[in-house]
Amino acid sequence: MIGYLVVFGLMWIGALAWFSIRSFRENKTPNDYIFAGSSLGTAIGLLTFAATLFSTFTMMGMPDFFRLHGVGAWIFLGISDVSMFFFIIWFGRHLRRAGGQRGYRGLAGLLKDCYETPWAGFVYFAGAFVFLIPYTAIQIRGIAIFLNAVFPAAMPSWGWSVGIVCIMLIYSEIGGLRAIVYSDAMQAVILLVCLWIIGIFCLVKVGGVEALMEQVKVQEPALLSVPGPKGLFTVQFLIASLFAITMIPVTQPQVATRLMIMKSTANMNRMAVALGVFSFLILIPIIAIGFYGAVRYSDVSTAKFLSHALFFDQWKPVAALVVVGLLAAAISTADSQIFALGTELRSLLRGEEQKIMRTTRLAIVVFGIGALIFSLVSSDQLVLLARVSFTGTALMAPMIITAVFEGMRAHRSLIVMTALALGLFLLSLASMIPDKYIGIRIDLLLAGIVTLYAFVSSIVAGRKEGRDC
Amino acid sequence: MNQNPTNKNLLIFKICATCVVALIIISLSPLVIPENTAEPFLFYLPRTLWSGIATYILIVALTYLATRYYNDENEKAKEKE
Repeated sequence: MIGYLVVFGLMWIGALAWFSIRSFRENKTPNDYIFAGSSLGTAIGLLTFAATLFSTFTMMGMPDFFRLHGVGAWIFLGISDVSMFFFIIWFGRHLRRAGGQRGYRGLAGLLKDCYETPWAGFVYFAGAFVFLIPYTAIQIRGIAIFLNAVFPAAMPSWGWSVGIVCIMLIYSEIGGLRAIVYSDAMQAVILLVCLWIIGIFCLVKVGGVEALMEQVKVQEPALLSVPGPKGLFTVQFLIASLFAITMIPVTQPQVATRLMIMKSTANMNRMAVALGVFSFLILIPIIAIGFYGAVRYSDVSTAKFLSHALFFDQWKPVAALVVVGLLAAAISTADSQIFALGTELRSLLRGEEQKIMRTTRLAIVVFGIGALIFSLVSSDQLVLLARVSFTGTALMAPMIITAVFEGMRAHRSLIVMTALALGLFLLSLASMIPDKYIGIRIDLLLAGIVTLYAFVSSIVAGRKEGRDC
Repeated sequence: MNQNPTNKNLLIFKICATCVVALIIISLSPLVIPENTAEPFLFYLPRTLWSGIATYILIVALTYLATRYYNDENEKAKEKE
């Protein structure tokens, strides 16, 4: 086992080093470093987008979600994902137009320009920071608890976390977004291959799809329908998740950046369709892994289920590849998020470019350390934490859409409304205010109110002082 | 040069978008997610799963169709050149 791990691990580290050095040589300007030359083709765009999107949350959290909550997990992620892919072709076109006209440096900078006040940029950056750092942290924590469960004697889980953050920061700092994009492409392929091998292996072990479903029906029939054994998948939960996930390209800077740096809108559109196919291929084996866990490991902890299903039950070379695949999945998402936060900060700064770049690079390190600290104190509920991140950032979607969409008018009061919604959502997370009002979840309620306000204020702004980006 | 899709193409895109919204609504309705009901099974899969997968495939097909008609006209011309 150790031999396989060393071989796969060295190949992976070697590839990361090569990508960093190659990117370092290719980066001629700060824009090359931040936006990887802004000319991604369909294939590389697909792989970097997929690697950024599908993370520890997908590879570890989703099998656990199927194991604990059942088939509603398909609606939760599958339908939300495919809705997002369709939304990309609509939103992406408007974003690229607005970004092209203004000289895109980041969403925060674009909002600052569109609303003609730095507060729009500040609110966006603060929201992205508050909700992306925990999301980045769960990537790190997810893989750290897995590695700790698999190799308990090697080092404590915080040691794994430190190692992951160091690798991520080194190659991001050296090669910039170009290195991240190249490594994402490799990591997306590893992720897909690993999931299919594990999924097929799980199916073979239980005797195929029919036998698997029969066993689930006998052991926990509630897994085969909604709301699931724990009652999680209510219609409200699914609608709020759909909104939060569909809005990822709008609100999460690492995703919006990838739409902007595609070579053309046509490339971006092709990428959206390809993502639909890629995502399908990712999610199908996850169902098998999750239900395999429901049959074999129904009453154990998340860490124990994952360590057995993904590692101990697998053939040794596959298990070794899984360790590398999980590391790749975690790092490919976390690095993009940390780097995107740096990009967003840069878009708010003005002055000498060299000084801005120094600040940006330093900020990336600081954000990495922040994510590391959060990963040491966060809980193990990977999917639910990720969902909180998506929901929090989604509250900023109306503010961004109003600024970016042709024909809509940006009204400054929407910035205050968005800040208020973010604050209330944070208070509900801290249990300082109730999380339900008149029977409606607060995330859904806030999203509805801010969206409605965006439409009304856009109409009002059209008549008075509206700003068209 | 006109950067926007033509009116006919925009109409087709809007039809696709409407169909996608309708499919999403259906996927959140008792047609796809009836409470505590797994029947009927199809290819051994419970109702929510097979109908959810079918909805997913239909939306991907609609996304493909929409991209055929929602390109910038001048970008298309450049690609042809």
